[in-house]
Amino acid sequence: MSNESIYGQGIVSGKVSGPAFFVESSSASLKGRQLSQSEISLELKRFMSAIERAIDELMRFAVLLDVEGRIDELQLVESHVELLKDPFGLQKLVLEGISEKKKSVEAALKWSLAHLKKKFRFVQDRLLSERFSDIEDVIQRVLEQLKPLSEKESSLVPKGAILVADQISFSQALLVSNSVAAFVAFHGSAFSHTAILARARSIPYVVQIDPRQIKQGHNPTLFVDGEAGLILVNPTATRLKKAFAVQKAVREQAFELKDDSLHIMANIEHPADIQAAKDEGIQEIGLLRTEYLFSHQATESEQVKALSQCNPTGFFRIIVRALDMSMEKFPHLYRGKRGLQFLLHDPAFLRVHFGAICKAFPQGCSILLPFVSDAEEFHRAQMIFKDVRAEFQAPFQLGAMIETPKAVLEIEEIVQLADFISIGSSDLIQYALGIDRATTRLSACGALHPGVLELIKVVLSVTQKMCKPCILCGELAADEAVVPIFVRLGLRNISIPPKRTKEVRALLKRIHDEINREKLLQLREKTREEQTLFVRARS
Amino acid sequence: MDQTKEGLPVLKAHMRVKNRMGLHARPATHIVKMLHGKKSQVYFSYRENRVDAKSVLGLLLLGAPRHATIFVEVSGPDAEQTLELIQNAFETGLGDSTL
Repeated sequence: MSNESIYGQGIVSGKVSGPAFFVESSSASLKGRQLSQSEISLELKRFMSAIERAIDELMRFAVLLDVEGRIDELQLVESHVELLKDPFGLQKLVLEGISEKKKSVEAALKWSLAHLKKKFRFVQDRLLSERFSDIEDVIQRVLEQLKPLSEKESSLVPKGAILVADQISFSQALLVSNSVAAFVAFHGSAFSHTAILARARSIPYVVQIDPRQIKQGHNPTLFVDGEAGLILVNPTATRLKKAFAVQKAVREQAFELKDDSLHIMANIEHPADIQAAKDEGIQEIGLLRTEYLFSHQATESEQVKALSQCNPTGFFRIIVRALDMSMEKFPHLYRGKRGLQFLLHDPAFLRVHFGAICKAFPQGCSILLPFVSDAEEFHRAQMIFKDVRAEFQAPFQLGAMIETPKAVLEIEEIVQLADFISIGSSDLIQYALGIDRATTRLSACGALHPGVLELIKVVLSVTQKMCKPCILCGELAADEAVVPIFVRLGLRNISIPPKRTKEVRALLKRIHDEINREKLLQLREKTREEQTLFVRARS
Repeated sequence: MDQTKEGLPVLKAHMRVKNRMGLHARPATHIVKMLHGKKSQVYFSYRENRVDAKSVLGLLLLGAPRHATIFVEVSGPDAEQTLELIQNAFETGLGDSTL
């Protein structure tokens, strides 16, 4: 098995290659047994001493982290120490398990874990419920103390190896973070402590990869691209070289532009628009509106057929927006939900829809989820997408369309999950200012509203900070008054109806002339200052 | 005013979680550390849960997200001082930089 590409979800970006190191999940050690009365006090002692050793181990890490000034990680370690010390928490549960239920320490820990897992199910907030991993981590740490092996194992990880496991706990990650090159796991999320640690130490981290897929090769060498979520198993030298170099070039070509130009992509509603885009010299589709091609009643083959007509050759990036049903567009089909909510309402349809897009664009494409209102929703759709995508080899990306102020409030969480962001400016203005689109022209009244500018500014700055592409769509993308402001704030991609290309190109030329004139003026000013200083110095 | 079995008054207040990520591990640790050595009993309630605020696990199980309003009950010889301390901590983000 060589040269195999496996796609997962990239959590921390960076590219590395190295030998794989597999870590076995230690759930096997949880085999418990019933205790006799005389054994109970012995087990109680065993548990308390394991707790003490676990705390001791964490305190030693804390000292190291403190010396290195890693405050964020230090605080996490401290929270784990408090969880272990807490007499009314885990300790109470486990002691009860040993003395009343007559379980061994291992069994009592397993019982506590299951008990707490049930309780955490009632925590509704997703960010908080994911914190169950803290509890799992702490219990894991105590279990490791009960085994004769613990830190010894971590010293076996060779420097530069890529750690592959079912799940990488924070304590495991911490132990090996100075020596490993990347983390690859099946379970894990962008919000976990392991992810925070990996980000802090710039360790590429990819999840949703089944270790068994990699294990097929004997001691394989891996290439990990934490941004694309790509793993190559035993890549050939040529493939490796290409993976390090070429992909970056493609990405730069697509999204990172020269200072002097703004990237123009086309909005496509009908196959005929593609010719219009080609005529204007545009070779990218920034927004393919599928809702004009078919409805949610279309079968997979109908969808594939309609979409295939919008897959022109020679285009190097195509962004397909998943079906965006709304009352304005389809009053007769409206079910009280719109955008992503509408799609999630019928997961079976969403699955068929994702499959149709992947089939219609066999070379790969980017899929944009419409009207995303929070990270949780996006995450749910992403899970379905991962499942569908697994059957296809080509690279597919999943992005979020930001169209409501609510989404802007959660933008950091959404950007972390999404591969790219698209701003649907028309809806954003409408919902931010409470305007009736049927009666008012949006760009005239809303575009320059400070609230709207601020919302878009937030999205631009977060996407820049997290190195994710951001595309402006909708009315604002061709607005003479606001585009110059966004270009100065770092906007580099817009998607517009092809027929407005000439007008927008002229606008961009004016913006760049203006920026250049300003630069020239600054330069002149500087030269004048220098001349004055020079003259003064001589006299 | 409610009283404990020992006849001490129970001080009550509502407080709002300002932290971006809610009452997660770090803020919970901050509260527990802050309450170390305090003689008063402190309970937090959110929705149907009521937990001992001196337990990190309890606080995590509260599942209080950002903007949640927590009902705080403090009783004991240093109740007033403890309540003030908790109030300040909530105001300043519970030692968390992610406000």
